[in-house]
Amino acid sequence: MPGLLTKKRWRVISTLLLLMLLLGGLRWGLNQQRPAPTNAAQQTSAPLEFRGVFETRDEDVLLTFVTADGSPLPAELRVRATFMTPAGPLVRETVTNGFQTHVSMPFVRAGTVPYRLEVGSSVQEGAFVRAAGEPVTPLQLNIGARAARVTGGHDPALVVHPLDAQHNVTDLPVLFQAFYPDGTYWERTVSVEHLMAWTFVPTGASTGTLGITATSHNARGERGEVDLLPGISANATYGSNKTAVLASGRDTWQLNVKDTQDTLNNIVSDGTSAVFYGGNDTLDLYVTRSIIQGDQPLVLPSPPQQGTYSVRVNSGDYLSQPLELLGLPVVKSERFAVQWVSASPLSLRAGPFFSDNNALVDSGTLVRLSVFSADDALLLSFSAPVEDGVLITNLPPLPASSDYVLVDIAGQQQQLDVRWVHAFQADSTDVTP
Amino acid sequence: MTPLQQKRLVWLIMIPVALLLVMGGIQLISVLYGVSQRARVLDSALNLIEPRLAAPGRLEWLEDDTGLPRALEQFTREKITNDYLLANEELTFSLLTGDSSGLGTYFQEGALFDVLQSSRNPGRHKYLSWNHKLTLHFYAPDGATVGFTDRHYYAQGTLETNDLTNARIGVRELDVIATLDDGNWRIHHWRNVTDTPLSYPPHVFPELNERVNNIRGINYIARSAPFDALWPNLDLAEIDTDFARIQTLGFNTVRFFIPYPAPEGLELLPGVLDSAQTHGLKVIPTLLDTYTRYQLEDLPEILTYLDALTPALTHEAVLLIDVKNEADRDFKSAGLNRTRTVLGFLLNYVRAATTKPVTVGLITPDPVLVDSMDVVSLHHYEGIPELQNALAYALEFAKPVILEEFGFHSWERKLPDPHSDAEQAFYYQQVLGSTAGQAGWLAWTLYDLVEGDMPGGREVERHLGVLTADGKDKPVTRVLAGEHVSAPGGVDRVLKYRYFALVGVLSIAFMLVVAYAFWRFFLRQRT
Repeated sequence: MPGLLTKKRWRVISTLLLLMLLLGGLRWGLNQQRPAPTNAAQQTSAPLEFRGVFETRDEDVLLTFVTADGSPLPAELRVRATFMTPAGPLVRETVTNGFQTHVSMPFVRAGTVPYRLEVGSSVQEGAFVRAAGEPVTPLQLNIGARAARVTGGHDPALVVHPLDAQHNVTDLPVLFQAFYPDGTYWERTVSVEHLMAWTFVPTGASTGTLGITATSHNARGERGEVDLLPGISANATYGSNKTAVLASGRDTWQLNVKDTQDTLNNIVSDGTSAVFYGGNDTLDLYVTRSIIQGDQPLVLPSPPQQGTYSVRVNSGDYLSQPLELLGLPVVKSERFAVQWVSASPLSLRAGPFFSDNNALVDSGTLVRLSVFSADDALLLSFSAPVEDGVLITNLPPLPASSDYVLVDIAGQQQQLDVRWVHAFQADSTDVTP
Repeated sequence: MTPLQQKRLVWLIMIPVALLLVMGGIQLISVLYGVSQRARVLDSALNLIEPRLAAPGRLEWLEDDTGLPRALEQFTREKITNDYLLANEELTFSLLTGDSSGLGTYFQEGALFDVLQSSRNPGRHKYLSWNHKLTLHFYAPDGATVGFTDRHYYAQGTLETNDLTNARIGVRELDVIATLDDGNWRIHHWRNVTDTPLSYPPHVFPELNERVNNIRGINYIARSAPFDALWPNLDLAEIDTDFARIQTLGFNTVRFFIPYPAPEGLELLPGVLDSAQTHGLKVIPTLLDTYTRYQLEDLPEILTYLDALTPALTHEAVLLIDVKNEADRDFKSAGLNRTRTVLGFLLNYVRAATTKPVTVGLITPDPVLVDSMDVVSLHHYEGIPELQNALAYALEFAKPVILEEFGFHSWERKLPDPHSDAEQAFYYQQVLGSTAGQAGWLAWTLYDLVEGDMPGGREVERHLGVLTADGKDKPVTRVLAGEHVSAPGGVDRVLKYRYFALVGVLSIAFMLVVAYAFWRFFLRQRT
């Protein structure tokens, strides 16, 4: 048909064909992206008497839609079921098929569920209650805290959310049982309220491990444990091996806290702190130690000053009476010899010094030498160590106003006149004033 | 092969190739359209959530139970509050978009199963909850488990064909167990304890029918600041003067508008009501003016707006509350079911909060909305036979009826429908006669308007007053005073076109002059 299909006509026909294809394809594409019409099914104009029959199953609620007389619904009606759940509207749809119409609602949660059922333009609203099933093993027992003091104050709390197979918290009561280290036993049955069964468990009187179990109907859980710890320190014995030692800086008192117990006479936990503190006007003492097995010895070196020291110990609620510790003078309280040895260099000798047990005082014990004027103004002061019980030391040139030297060892004092030194210095040509 | 056969062969090859190219292009267009659709849905979801974040009164903790194993620290309480609200927002998002990827962050165990099932719903669904009131029942000593009851409002519905179906506004009491996992409080278990539609007890208003039938009112638009300009520029002295004039004209009721959101100057509302009371006027405030969305997610903010207005709305001068003006204009754009759902709820809410009768101004009474109204109101600007039909229909609902708006312009220069003052007066006389004994009425409006912008730029709105713009009486005031006026005669009907006749004559004369000038010009050219 060369006359019919000219070049010009072919162009027109092919252009029209392409245009139609383009439009058709575009419409197809748009329909692919749009949500499918939800009310495409035929709607009824007259209200339809129907009811939904609820069958609660493990995995869902099966809804069967029937007319009031139990017969199947007319075909090709849109059916929509909506449950008002805590998770928002749960909606499922189908279309009637002339036979029995079913909708599976994947709803397994216990509780009150309002619903709205629609068949065509007819609506039925109501609410049904789904009950939780029986609890299943394992029960999850939560205990807080995992350790408690037997003296009370903060009893552990037990909480269980007994779940059924669909993770509903069941309504059956929970039996809590506690097994104490002293062999005693406790139990309590707790009803489930607000999705939980919870109670405090008493701690008993003895320390150790408390075993706890929870059961509900046939469901069990693993045993839980609570460490029952002694209470804080309430009683103890406090003393020292001796109360008087030489204030030598190396003699010691041995203080001891023993049998530290709580109010129920349980030995307190290892690591419980004990604080020794006290002293006197010139010296403060503050020492922290950890109690082990109820005891804590403290070796306390004597200070280098004689005197009385009052020391107490504190642990928890226990506060001891003050223990009076005596630091004895390291030098026997009797006069000791002091004399000038030479004028140039100016040298002094003191001692020998004896302790109370008639031994020489320790080498290294310091002797303080102080130079005073006639009106008792301190002009010069320095210390020098004892060696072999005697102090022999050189002094710097003394000021002209100096009157005497005070030699002091552990509180024992002797004076030495310096007039001889002044006289010697005045006569001697070897000595420069 | 002839040249023609060669051309056909080329065409046969070209057509499939072209088809493939075209289909590829269509597919590309489809993909782009899908992307834009998803973006739109996402945008809707974000818009749905954002107002809720800003909405006040979203969550409040009531007094904790006594004897808890551990007191809930303030920091933890705030963390739980935050995570719980986020969980609800994620749920809202997943129901609207079907995107369930974020649910595991906020839900576990049974609760996660439930939200995943809901996110697989066919279609898209709106869901929001607000006004959460939480009572703490348990806080574990290890600080990682809480049990509480949450009583909250919720609204939900299915989006279908530019409307909202399957809607419900309810109040729910929910037991919740939440656990601290990986730093987030997640909802593990929950159970609906109660779940009922949010409803309010009915209220009986004695002698309401008589009070409504006695309404002889006027819609008030301020001369100096008409329509939207009223509240930001409100002058109480002007209001007082105008209310005195309204009283003098024999009116006993005044209706005015309160926009949404609450405008600046609204704090003067009690002063306006006091002024009305002083002049013996009852008031019909019309709420939510300019609001046309009717979106569920706006409810928390709307309720906050209404709660703020409630003290003023209980004023003795308030006779009736119009919850929304001409809502039926929004049926098409917002959706019929959506509008009915939101307004039905708001009607009951306002009545319960204020103990005042409520209505919604409608051009044609809506049988569903009327169920929630105490007074059926209609607006009418058409002819008298149509008014009588509308009144007859409104009266079928067996509730007090008010013709809340009617009016007749007196603009003689309006083309093609000029009206005279006499026609306006006669129209009023006919309307008042039609409503007598059956319905109260409120005329539109007090003054002709010179200043300000008119709604939709409609200039005719400037000429609907019963008084001129400078406050002089129009003939219609004689009707309001009870005088009888005659129907405009033939002369009146002709004379009202005098402006157009004059313009027409001048125009024809001008055209004749122009034609004559051209004719003379061509004659000269020919000669």
